Amino acid sequence: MSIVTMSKLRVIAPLQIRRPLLKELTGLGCVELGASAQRLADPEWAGSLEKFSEAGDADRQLGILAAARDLLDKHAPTKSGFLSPRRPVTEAVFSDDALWAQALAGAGQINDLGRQITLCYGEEGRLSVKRAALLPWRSLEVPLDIKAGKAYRALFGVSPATGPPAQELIDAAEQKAFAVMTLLHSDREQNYYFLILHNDVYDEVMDELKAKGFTLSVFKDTEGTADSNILQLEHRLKELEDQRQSLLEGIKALAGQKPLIEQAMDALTIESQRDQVLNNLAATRQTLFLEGWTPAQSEGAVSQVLERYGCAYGFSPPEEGDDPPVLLANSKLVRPFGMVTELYALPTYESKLDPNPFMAPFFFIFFGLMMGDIAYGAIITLVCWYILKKAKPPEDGMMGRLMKVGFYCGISTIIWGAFFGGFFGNLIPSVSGAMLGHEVSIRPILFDPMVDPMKLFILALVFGFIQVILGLCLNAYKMILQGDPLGAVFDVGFWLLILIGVPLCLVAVPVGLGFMAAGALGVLCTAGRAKPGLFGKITEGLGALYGITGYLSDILSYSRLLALSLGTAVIAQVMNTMGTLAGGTLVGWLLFIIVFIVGHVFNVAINLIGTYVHTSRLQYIEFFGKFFDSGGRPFSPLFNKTKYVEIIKEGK
Amino acid sequence: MEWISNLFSGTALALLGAVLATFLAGTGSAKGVGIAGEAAAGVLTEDPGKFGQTLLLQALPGTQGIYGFIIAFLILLKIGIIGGNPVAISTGTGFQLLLASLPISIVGLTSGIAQGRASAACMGVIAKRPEEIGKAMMYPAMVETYAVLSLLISFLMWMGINV
Repeated sequence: MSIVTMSKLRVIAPLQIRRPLLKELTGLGCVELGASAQRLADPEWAGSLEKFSEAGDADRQLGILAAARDLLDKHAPTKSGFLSPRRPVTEAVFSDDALWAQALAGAGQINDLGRQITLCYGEEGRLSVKRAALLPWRSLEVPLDIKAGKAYRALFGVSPATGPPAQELIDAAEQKAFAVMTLLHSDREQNYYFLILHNDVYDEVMDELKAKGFTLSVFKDTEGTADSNILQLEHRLKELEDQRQSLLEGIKALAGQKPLIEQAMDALTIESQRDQVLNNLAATRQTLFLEGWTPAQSEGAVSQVLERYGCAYGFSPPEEGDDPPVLLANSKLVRPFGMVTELYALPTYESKLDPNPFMAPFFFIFFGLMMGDIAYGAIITLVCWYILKKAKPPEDGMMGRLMKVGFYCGISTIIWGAFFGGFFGNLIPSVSGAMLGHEVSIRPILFDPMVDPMKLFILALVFGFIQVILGLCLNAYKMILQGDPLGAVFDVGFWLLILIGVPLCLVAVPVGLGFMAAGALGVLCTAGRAKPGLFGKITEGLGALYGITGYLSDILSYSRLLALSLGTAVIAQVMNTMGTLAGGTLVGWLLFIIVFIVGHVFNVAINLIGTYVHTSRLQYIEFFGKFFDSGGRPFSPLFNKTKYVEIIKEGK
Repeated sequence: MEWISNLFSGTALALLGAVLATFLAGTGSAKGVGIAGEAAAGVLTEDPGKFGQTLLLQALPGTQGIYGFIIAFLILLKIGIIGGNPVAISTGTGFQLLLASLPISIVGLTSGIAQGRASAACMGVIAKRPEEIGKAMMYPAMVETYAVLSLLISFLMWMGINV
């Protein structure tokens, strides 16, 4: 229920035990190390410190594992929905070096196969190009490496398809004696010819043909006919494909290594982070200096570890000028709602006031009030419960807490839905009236806001009044904690008198007015107490009194509770009306089903966004604005952050 | 002069209200979603993985059009255009329904565009610090407040008008 008291931790340890020591401290998950590198800049320290660099192999190994995992994902994808939970692994298994080595060996094998597959693809590509180049010559039964006779030459050549037609070239060649030219093949780009020429007419014919775009084709390193070459290439291609397939099978056979590889990736990521931490530490040739923060209640566990490693260490409370990190400790029920506060900001360590337990109930109530529908609430609750159950997101992560908040708020939505009589808006009366011919209505426990919006309006303002008053009280409490009780009376107490006077007027006008007058007088006299001179004090006091408009608009701001609540109900009602337009016929029911599904899914979606944002906004602006000192630094201890596996602590 | 009395018949005025609610609030949303979409496309060229987040921000200014549609639908329902039994209403009632449509029509137009601009600006947050989407969503959502309030007033007016 509060901001956790922090202790400053200083440790001097032998340099050689740095890795195991750090590993144990990480395992504890409650030590935040400060950047001791700052010490290097301090001239007093700099003389005795040495720049220390831990060059680990973790990043290179991570690269190997990641490449192997990508190959597995590509060639042997496993079916895992986005809701698959992290694999539970015990601590001993997680830090088992033999398993790492096994994962690395497996990854090496997979990468090797991957490389060979790439080579196969390259070779296949090269051969396919060669085959494609030979295809047009296939019909020719003359070997491509045909030797010229004494008097004749055998030639291959092409002319562009956009040039003169093939027959024109053939005619040009064959008008000479001793020249034979055949068109073998034409495609969109070229015409392919075989021609036999007598040596005597060679120059003459070639000149003429070249003028028409003809060029000679020469086949290097090719024996036999085009057809036999193509067959050979196809055979080789088939072989390569078989080889590639068997390599792929090899990778698929190694798919079982994936969990191990992922586990090793987690372990090595932590290892690589450890290298980074070590690189930022202050060290001499033989010793290491650690400086950081730990929650006061964890001192015992930390010192146990430090004792075991024979370190010199000390704890001390935060001093003036320190910047202790902020950790909020709350009950299990409130903790998820801390996410809402964190999205805004953390309270400062000095403010000593944790807003979560005060904010959470309002968040719970307001969210449900704005959605206010039994069915919608049930949907939200079930979806969040399912995700929590199936994906098991880390409990203190954003996702895990968001789903828990959703789960609780869904329940609140069901409760308010029952109060207001909302079930998919007015689904039951609407369907029974328009399609079944006999209107059945459900009675709300409290009232139906569509019928009685004024009641909800007043309820919203009452909630607003309560939360604003609570915010002011918390401010007073904070001021007292910080040693300023007079300020609490002057700046908060008098305002409370004014504000409480307002509802009192409804009961007894003179009493209420008396409260308000006393409060106003108090504010007028004390708000300017820091200003010099009577005139300054009075103007400041008057200025402060003008602040009443601020409180008024804050409380009126809660009318959004009504607006969003009606918003959900109205959209739902419109969807139901649209769905039931065609009445109880077959077409009518079909229309109804489509409109029902699309419409209500849409309504839940847009109202979830609206409700979440406006519930948060009421906390941030109307509530936190009263007392919250923002700007705390989150406590970020060393801990084993994993993506694929969940480390189970032994003995638990 | 029959056309003048036709023009100012209750039904025509009520229909004008429905027209304005759909037309103005819809235009506001269309512009807003468009502005946000232009910025979203810019973010997407750098990192296609941010599609979901940018789409969420782009969708925020889309609600004004829906609010306008709701009021238009409710007006049509009240005068029986939907449901098949048109009710003859007086010029005064028609004028009242027209007035009831104005809050969401006008605020829908202006807030839709304003919200689109806020969304577009927040696309920059998604581009550089996608983990802060929770905060980025707040700014456009603040604009939404006024659309919700005007929907509420339009709705309360619609509720109170007896046909």
